Amino acid sequence: MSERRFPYPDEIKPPEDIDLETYKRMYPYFRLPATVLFGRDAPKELVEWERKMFAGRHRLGDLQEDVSLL
Amino acid sequence: METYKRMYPYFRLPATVLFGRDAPKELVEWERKMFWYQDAMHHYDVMTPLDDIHPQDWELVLSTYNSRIFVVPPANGIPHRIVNGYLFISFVSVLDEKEIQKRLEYFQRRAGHYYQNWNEIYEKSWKPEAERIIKEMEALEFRDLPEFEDEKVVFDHLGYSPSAYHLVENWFKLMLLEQRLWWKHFEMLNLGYAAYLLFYQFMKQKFPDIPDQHIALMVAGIDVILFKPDLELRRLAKLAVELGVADKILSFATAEQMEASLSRSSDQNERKWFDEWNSVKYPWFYYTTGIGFYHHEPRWIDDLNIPFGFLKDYIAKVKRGETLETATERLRSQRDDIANKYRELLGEEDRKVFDQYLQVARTVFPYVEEHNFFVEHWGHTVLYRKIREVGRILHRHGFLEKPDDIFYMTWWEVALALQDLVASWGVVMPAVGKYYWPREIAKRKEILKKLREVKPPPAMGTPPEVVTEPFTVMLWGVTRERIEDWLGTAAAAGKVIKGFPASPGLVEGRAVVVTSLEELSKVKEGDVLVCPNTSPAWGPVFAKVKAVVSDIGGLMAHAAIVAREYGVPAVVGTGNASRIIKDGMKIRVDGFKGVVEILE
Repeated sequence: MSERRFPYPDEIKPPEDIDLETYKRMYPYFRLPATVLFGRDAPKELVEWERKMFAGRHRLGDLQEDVSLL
Repeated sequence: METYKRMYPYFRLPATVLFGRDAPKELVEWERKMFWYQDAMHHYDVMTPLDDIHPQDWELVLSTYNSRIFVVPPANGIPHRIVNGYLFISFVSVLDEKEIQKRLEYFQRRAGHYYQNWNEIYEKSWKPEAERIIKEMEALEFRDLPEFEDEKVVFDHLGYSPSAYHLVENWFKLMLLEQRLWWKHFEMLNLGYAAYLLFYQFMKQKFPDIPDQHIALMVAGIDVILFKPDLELRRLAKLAVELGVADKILSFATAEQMEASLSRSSDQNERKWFDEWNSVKYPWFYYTTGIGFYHHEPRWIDDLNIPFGFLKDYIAKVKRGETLETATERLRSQRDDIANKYRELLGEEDRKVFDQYLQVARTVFPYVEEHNFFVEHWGHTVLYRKIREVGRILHRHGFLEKPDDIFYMTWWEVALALQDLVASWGVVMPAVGKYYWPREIAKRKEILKKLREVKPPPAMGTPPEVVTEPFTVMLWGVTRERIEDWLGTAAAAGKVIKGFPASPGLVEGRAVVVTSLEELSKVKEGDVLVCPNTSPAWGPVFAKVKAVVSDIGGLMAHAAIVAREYGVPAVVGTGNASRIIKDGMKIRVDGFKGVVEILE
């Protein structure tokens, strides 16, 4: 299995030159990644769940496999 | 600060709180131009976000009836601002004579229709519609989400998930029905107060020295259903004595013990009394001991020990041979005497106006008191019970530590949380709300706790020369004189406190200061009740006390009306009596002049 992966949701930071509070008000709280919503206090359990999900579905090989199933 | 701002709709915050240093000058200036006072009569406590639905609704509704529907000539609406968690209100007067004349034409035609058909509209349209709204609210179901949908969804081709859809839909329906009930609340109330105000102003013009109370007494002594819950308790007390079950009932410490025992009783009289007790519960125990705008105000049906306690007091009175009659009958003969005396002093033309104004004021009276039972008592009890059903669902899913924490969310946040819940149920994934809401609510609780420790000023801004809005004068008792008192020229001086002479009588007694509902039990027979404000539901307490003094309220405030109906001397709208007077002080209450004196 390849170790190559896309970044985890908590690794993608919003651009520094946008107003984060305004950005957060644009979507329901439950549609934002845990680290965007909670900042440094993001619940570990939720961050891990998000990592697990994306890790499972977005590994490059798996993605190609998903596409091949379509 | 960001958490605080999330607790209320943006438009309810002062401009400088909402925008900070970038607040638009125009908006700041408008806010400065207005005169604001704290609505301690209805919203005496800090506003939890969900309890704020009531003032959100009534700001819109009361104002729209004034400005756009009935077109009250000198008055538009009542704007709100939440300042440090407390509700401040103002009034938008119409001062331009030409504009007033233009509005008068609309008002006469529209209000005239209601005044001419008052009883018919109230009985045939208002009451059935108010009941329909309450029953529609009551029929809304909030069910927790099942593991799998029922198979009828498939075999009846429903084409959607009723569990997910109705949970969110019914929340919106509940909130909209709540607003609908507020539209009923004010449908006739503005006109009711306008009728009082016209009569009041006419009398003041013709008799500049007439005591306010004489004007009020001319419309007193009318049976209204707002007193019905208390009257039902009195009836139950008399029935208990008649059936010979009084001692048995008095022997129970709690309502639960009484119900557990009497529901199994084989004694015919005990059963008969118990059936009566049960039959009055709906709707008469859908009654709050507060004002009706806060979730923390106990309601009889949710805590049967409240009516049971009052009932036991009444049974004891009947056994002692005391009468349980209210002052209504006496007031009736008194009101006609007073009215006739003033009428005789008028010329022929003025008599016609007097008769017309008095007749209208008396016609509107039952509605002005009774709407309260339908909305604040019955309707809001149903509303709060439904909200708590949703609170329990969110609690079960870990969104809330306690079901009542739902009151720390705004109504649209509850909708959002329900969307979060059904989406996570549909996807089968962790709901973010489980992590988000407990943290957010803990911060909000901390904020409100701190704000509760800071007493707000009675008012903000520059006092106006005149006050023309009917509610502001007749209900809140905000007049130029009252504002002067707030500015500290009279009341703060010390031993003499001025207010409205709401109900006649001169008595001396021991003061008992009640600033919260929990303290009501401190009140003993013969005390003088001193409080920030009272609720119509304190009737049984009025039956115990010698006199009542309140910080808030005008001539037609509920406290004033209830005091008159119970024949208890009262001075209302003192501004700060409950802060100046301390428990145990001996005070003199002059309900004729509206003066309270601290004797020792």
